[in-house]
Amino acid sequence: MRRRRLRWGEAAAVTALLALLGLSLLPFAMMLLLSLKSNADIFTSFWGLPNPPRWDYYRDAAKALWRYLLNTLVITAVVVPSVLVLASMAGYALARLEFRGRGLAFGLILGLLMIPGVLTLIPTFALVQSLGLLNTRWALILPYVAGGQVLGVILCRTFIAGLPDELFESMRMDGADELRVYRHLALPLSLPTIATVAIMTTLGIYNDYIWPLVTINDAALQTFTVGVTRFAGEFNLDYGPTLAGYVVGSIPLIVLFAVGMRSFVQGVTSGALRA
Amino acid sequence: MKRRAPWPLVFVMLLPTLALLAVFNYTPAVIGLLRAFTRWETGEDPVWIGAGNFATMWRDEFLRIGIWNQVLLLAASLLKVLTMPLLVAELLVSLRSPRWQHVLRTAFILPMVVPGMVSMLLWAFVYDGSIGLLNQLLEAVGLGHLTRAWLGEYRTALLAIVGMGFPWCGGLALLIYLAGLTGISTDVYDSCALDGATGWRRVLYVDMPLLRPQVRLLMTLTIIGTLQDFGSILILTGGGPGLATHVPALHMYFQAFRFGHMGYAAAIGFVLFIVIFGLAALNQAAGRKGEAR
Repeated sequence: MRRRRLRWGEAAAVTALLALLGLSLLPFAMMLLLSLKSNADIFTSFWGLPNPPRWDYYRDAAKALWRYLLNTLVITAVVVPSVLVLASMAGYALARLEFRGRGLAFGLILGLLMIPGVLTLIPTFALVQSLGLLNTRWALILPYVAGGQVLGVILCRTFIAGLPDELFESMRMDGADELRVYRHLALPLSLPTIATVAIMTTLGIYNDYIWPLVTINDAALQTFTVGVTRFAGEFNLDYGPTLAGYVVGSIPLIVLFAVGMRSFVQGVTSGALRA
Repeated sequence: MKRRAPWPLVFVMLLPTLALLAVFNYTPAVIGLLRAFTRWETGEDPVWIGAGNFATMWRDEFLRIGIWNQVLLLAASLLKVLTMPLLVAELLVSLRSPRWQHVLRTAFILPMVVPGMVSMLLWAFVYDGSIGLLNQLLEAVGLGHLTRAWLGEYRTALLAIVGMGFPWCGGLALLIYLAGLTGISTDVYDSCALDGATGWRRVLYVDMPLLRPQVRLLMTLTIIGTLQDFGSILILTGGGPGLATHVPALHMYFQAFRFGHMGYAAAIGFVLFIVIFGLAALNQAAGRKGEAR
């Protein structure tokens, strides 16, 4: 009797989950389906299969979006490695080096989490403008590197500080200097944290809209997130090609997650974010 | 006995980080706080006017409407993050087959893979007046008379913004709840079962108190995220129709980048900062107090 009740309960749970899942994924499924249909096809049979499937929409979308995607990729390729190097080095110094002002330095970095982007948006814009960097890639790269490190330093410090002291002492006893300890002990051990930082930084760059919108005018330098809104405006009422563009723009992140999803989920669930 | 690290080493490892933060994060923050007290139009030098901008804000009708919309949006965001992802997390951990659990969890976080801007534009399509997904669904179930341009009508625009992401159950919140729930030891559940606390009662009296840190974190993130985010509203409605979806952060953006009132915008940013900081601190303090009991 009891077993039976539990099984019914589980069936109900699965049904509820599948219903919620269906609702969650419906817009994305329709994006894939309608991206292959012409307007005429969409208006006559919205839910039907594409007839004929318009694969050429994908070619057109890729042609319109590749430059924006490439720009985002270039920015990411510069910013993410810089963030990882700086964050892991600073994280190591704050976790494992004894020096006066260490607590203050970490406090200053932690405090930055409290300062919202709305406060700094306008002054940062004025700063970048006065440095003559508007409408260059540097307007994106420098603030991204600076801002991206904040969470990175905190995560790396927390992780490296949690490693057992004995590991570090024994390596130092063997005569290794600090840079060696960092390179050959702390860095390899903190790879999962570093992967989490890499994914979060990439997501941050990929999804940022306002900053590139206000600092970059030149379409040839614009990033995907702003570019795709222009693209959506150009194709305005042509639904198929627009939706095909959305799919094309999602591919790089899908690839990233296919590679890094496991370590990202682990990083989040194992408490990297519980600070 | 720990020894002091040599200064050159500390410099090499820490200086690049601190220098970048000083230039691109601390300087703008301090300038932002100071410029809030100036009359500063684009291209001109700032002039100190004391509390003038704040007096203007007090009388700013647009801002007042924006604040009311923002209060509604924040309440809705908090409600969303505290219910649906938790429900899904509870249902997921209640499954006894690890395979189902894994497959369903992966499926629920799948939308995180889609770039934020693409999801947003996709929701614009869901609400599209002519052939949007929502209108098509309504037609399909015989409610065709309800179809409309959801983002374009005064009465439905704010509701449509709240509805984005329906049924709001995936993403970071789900991951954080799952992490919290799997962290509760099986001993706790065993003794619950012995005491007859099962189902809803266990969720309410055992899980919820034990999930307090996760709830606190999610509430803080939601407060910060909702009050700062105007990108989605800028894209979906631009604050309209009329002022139906206008919010303070968007007001700040328009003042700065459309009208060139940089000083006034900095003042709005200043107040937003105080409000966000205050609410987040309040939330943290309230959560801590609850835990101590």
